[in-house]
Amino acid sequence: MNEGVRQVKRFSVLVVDDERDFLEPLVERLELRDLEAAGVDNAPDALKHLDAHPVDVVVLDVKMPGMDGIAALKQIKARHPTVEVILLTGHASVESGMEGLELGAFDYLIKPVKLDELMERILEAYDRRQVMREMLAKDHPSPK
Amino acid sequence: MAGGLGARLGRLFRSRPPASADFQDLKLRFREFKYLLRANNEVLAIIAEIENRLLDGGALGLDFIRSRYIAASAKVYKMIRHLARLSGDRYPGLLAAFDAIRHDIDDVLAPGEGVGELTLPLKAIERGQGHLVGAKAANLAQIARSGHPVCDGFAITTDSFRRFMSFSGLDGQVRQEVMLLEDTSYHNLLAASRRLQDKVRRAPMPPEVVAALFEAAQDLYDRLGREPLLSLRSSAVGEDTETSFAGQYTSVLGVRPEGMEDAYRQVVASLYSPQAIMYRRKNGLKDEDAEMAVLAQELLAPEVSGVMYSRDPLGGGRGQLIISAVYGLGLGLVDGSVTPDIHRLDRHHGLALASTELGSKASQVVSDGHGVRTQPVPAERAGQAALDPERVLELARLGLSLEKEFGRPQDVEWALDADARFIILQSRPLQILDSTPGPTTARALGATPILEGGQTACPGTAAGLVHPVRGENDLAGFPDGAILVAPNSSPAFAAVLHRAAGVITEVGGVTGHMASLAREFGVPALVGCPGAMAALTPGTLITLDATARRVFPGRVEAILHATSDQERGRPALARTKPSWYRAAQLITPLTLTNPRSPGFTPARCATLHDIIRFAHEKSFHEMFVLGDRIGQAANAQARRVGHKLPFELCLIDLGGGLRENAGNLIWLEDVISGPGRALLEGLLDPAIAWDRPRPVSLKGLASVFSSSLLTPPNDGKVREMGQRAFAIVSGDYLNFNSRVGYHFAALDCFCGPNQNDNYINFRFVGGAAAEDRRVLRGELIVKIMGEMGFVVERTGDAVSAFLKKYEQEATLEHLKAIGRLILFTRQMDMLMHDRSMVDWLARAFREGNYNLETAPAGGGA
Repeated sequence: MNEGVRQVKRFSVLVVDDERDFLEPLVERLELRDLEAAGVDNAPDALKHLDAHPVDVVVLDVKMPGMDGIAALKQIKARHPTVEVILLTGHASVESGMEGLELGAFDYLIKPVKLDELMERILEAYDRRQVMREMLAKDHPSPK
Repeated sequence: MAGGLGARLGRLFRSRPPASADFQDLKLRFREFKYLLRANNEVLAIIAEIENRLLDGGALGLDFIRSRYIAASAKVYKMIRHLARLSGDRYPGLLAAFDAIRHDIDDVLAPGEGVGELTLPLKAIERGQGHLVGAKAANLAQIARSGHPVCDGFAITTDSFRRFMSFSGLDGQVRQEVMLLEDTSYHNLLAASRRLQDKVRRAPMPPEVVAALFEAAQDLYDRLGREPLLSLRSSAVGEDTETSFAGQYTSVLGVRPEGMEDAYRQVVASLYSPQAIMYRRKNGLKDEDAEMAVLAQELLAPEVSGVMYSRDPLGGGRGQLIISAVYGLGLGLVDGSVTPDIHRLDRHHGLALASTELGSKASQVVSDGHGVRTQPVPAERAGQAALDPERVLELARLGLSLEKEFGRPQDVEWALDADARFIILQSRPLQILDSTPGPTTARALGATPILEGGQTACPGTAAGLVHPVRGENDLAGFPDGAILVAPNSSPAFAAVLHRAAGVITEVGGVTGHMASLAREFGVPALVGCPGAMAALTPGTLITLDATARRVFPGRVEAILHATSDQERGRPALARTKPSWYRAAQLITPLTLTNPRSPGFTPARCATLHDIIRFAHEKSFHEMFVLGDRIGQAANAQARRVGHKLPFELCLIDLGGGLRENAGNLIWLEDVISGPGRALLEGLLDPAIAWDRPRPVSLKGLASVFSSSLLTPPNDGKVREMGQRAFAIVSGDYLNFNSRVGYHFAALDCFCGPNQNDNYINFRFVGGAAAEDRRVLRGELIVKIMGEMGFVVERTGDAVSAFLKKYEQEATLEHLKAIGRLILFTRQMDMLMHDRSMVDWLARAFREGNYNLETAPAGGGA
C-alpha cells in the first residue's frame, strides 16, 4: 500500500503523550523499526521540537493536561502545514475524531492499536506528505 | 463543525479539475482511493464484530456498542472525506446523511438512557441483565427465581465498574498497556499486569459508588436481621458462560463493610492478572472490553461444601452425576489442597448411588466471624463421609433440577449450612468433552459431507433445495426455503434473503456486505467455499451446517436438531430492544443494496453500513472515470511498452508499479504492478497471433469471413496509427483505457492480498461494423465474461462487467484472460453476422482456440 515510501530508509516521527510509561516504550519500538523517533510529554514541548527539528509525522495524544491534542493539532497545522499528524487516543469520542480529521489530522486512531497498524499509518502519512510537498513545490517553485 | 468541509474540499479540488489535473493530483487522488478502501474494511470488521456478538447471544452492553460506534464513526467520516476528495465533492448529501444517522445514534446512547443501577439485590436481578451483573450473579438470580436455595446478596454492577475505571482514568491506562503488550514476552506480560493491578488497587473510587456499596451492604443486613461477614466474588461478563474463566479471578472472603472498597478493588484487579490476560488472548477476547461485576454475599460457615457435576464431563455427557465434598468452606477443594470424598450416582434408572470414594480431608477452611483460616480435621471425622447417602441423594436431586432449569449440564458449587440446608453458591454450564451428537459429530451418524470448507458468515444449520444464482436475473422467482448457491457474494441477495434457508458462495469473506446481511437476516451462510457450484446440483435437497462449514446430501435431522438445542439460550432481543440494540440497528444493517436502483442515493442511507456501501461503490466509479480523464493529462509521465502490440500502450506509474531502474521503454519484466503485469501477460500471450491472418479455410466459416477481414487491417504495420492506450499502475492497482479505432475499452482493477478490496470493473463499447454486428460482439463478450464469473450487463453494443472479492491469484488470472479477450475480440464485430457465432466463438475462446485454427466441433455459422 505504500509504494512511494519503500525506498525511503528513515524519516522522522515525533510522539507526543503525557504518559511517560507509554511514551518511552513506544518511541523505543518505533526506533527498532528503523524510524527516527523522538518523544515529548506535552504539547508546548512538541511545538518547540517541531520548530527546531525536521519532523515528518507526529503521533499525538488527544487528552493531555494543559494544551490538549486538538489545540496542539491546530498549532502544528498552522505552523507546519505539510507535517502529517496522527491522533492516537485512549479516550475517543465521535466529536474529537471528526474535529481532528476536520482540522487536518491524517488519521484518528483509538488505543490499543497494533504496532504494525500504527507503522502502516505512519508510512502512509509520510507518503502523503511527500506527495503534498511535490504538489506544493510545483505550484510554488522556489526562486532560483 | 463539519459543515464547512464540503466547501473547503470543493475549493481544493474545483481549483484542480480532473481534466487538467497533473500527475501529483492523480497520485493524491489515488491515495484517497486506497485510504477509502482501507477504511471500508475497517468499518466492515467493526460491523462484523457487532453482528457476531449479537449472534453469540446478545451480551453487548452500552459500553461495547458505544466504543464500536466511536471507532466506526471516525472511519466512516474518513471515507466521506476521501470520497469527496476523490470525486471533487460530487456527493455532498453523504455528509448530511451521516450527520442524521449520527444524531439518531447519539440520541439512543444519550447519557441517562440505559444507565444501570450501581448495585442490585440478588433477588431484584431480572432475566437479560447478564451484561449488568455478570454471568455468575445472573445465574444465581435465576436459581433463586426458580425456587432453589441461595444465599442472599447483591451485585455491584458493571455500571459501577465503568464509573470506577473512568473516574480513575484506568480505562485509558488499560488501553495503553494493551497496546504495549503486543508480541511481548511473558516477562513483559507480568510487568504490565503488575502495573495495571497496582494502579487498580491504588485508584480512587467515585464517591457515588462507595456510597452505593455501603447502602447495599446495610440493606442486606436489614434483610438478614444480622451483620455477617461478606464474601466478594468476581462476576465478570462472560465468566461462567461458554468461555469459562473458572478460577481466573479473585474472591475476597470475610469482608466487613468498611473493607468493601479495598476488597472491590482487589476483585477488579484480578481482571488484569497475567492468567486472565493470557486467557482472553487465547480466546480472542479484548482486554479493553473486559468488564467486572462483583457479587457480594453473606459468607457462610458451612459444615460441608463441594462441587457437583450434573453429568460426568469425561463420559460424553451421559452416565453419572458426580459430587465432591469437603468439610468447611469449599476453598480447599477448589484450590486442590484438600482431597474430597467423591460420590458417583447413576442417573439412568432413577438416581442411585453407584460408588463413594472417601478422601483424606485432613484439613478444612473455616470462617469464624473474623475471617477465614485453615484448621486440621480430627482423624476420626476425616475418615468418615462428609455427607451421608441420603444427603448425597438430596443434593443430586437439586443438581438434576438445576440442569432442567438451565437446559444443559451444570457445574454447581454448593454448601451445607449450619442449619443443615443445602445452599447453591453458583451454577454454570459444564464443559462436556466429546459432546452430545451435534454438527461436529454428524460424520459419526453416518452422514458424509459433499462439500467442506469456507468461512462461517452466519452460524446455524438449514436444509433446502439448491438454487444456483449466477447473476441477478436468477434472483427472480427464488423459491421459498431454498438454499442460495452462488459463485460470488453480492448485496443484491438481500432481495431474497428473507426467503432463503441458507446461503453458500464460492468467494467472499465474513466481513463482506452479504455476510453482514446474512447475519442480520439470521440466515446460515457459508462463504468462500470453492467448488460449491460444481458440487451442488440444482434442485437437490441438502443440509447446510454453516457452523461446522459442511454441506451434506439430503436432510440430516440430527444436524438440524443439534443446532436448535444449542441455540435455545438466545435472548429474545426483539421483545426488549434495549438502547444498545437500537444503536446497533443504526450501525450494522445494510438497506442500500442495489447500486443500479434509483434509490441508491445518500438520502436513502439509513445506517452507517449504508454510508460506507455508498462511498465504496461510488469510489469504483470515480476511479474508473478518473483514469480516462487523467491519462492524457499525465502524458509527460507516460512510458511506452516496447513489446509488439496492435496498439501503442503507455504506462504511468503512481508508485510501486514499475521497477525503479526501468528505462523509458517498458518491458514485461519492468512491470511489478500485480494487475498491470497480469493484463500485459494476457495481451502478450503468444497463443494469440494477432498479427497473423486468421485462417480462411475453416469449413463453414469461409462464407462468413472474407479474406480481407481475416487479415490484420493494418496490413503488416504493427500499430494502428495514432492509437494509444494508457495504463495507470501501482503495486496493486491498474486503470487501463484504450481507444483503438472505434472501440473503447476501459478496465479498472484493484488487486491486493485483502480479498475484500479486490475488484475488476470492465467496460467495452463501439466498433466499426454495423450496429447488429457490434451487438453480436457485445453478446460474445457477455457470454465469455459471464462464464468467467463476472456479473455482466449489455446495453446495445456496450458491455459492462464486474468482478468482486476474488482472491489475489484468481483476480490476476481473470485479468490475464481479459488481456487475451481484448485481442481475441478485436475487430470481431466485422466478422460476426449470425447469432450462432456467439456460442461458437465463446467455445473457441474457452478452448484456447484463439486463432480459429481448427474447425468448430459441432459446426459453426
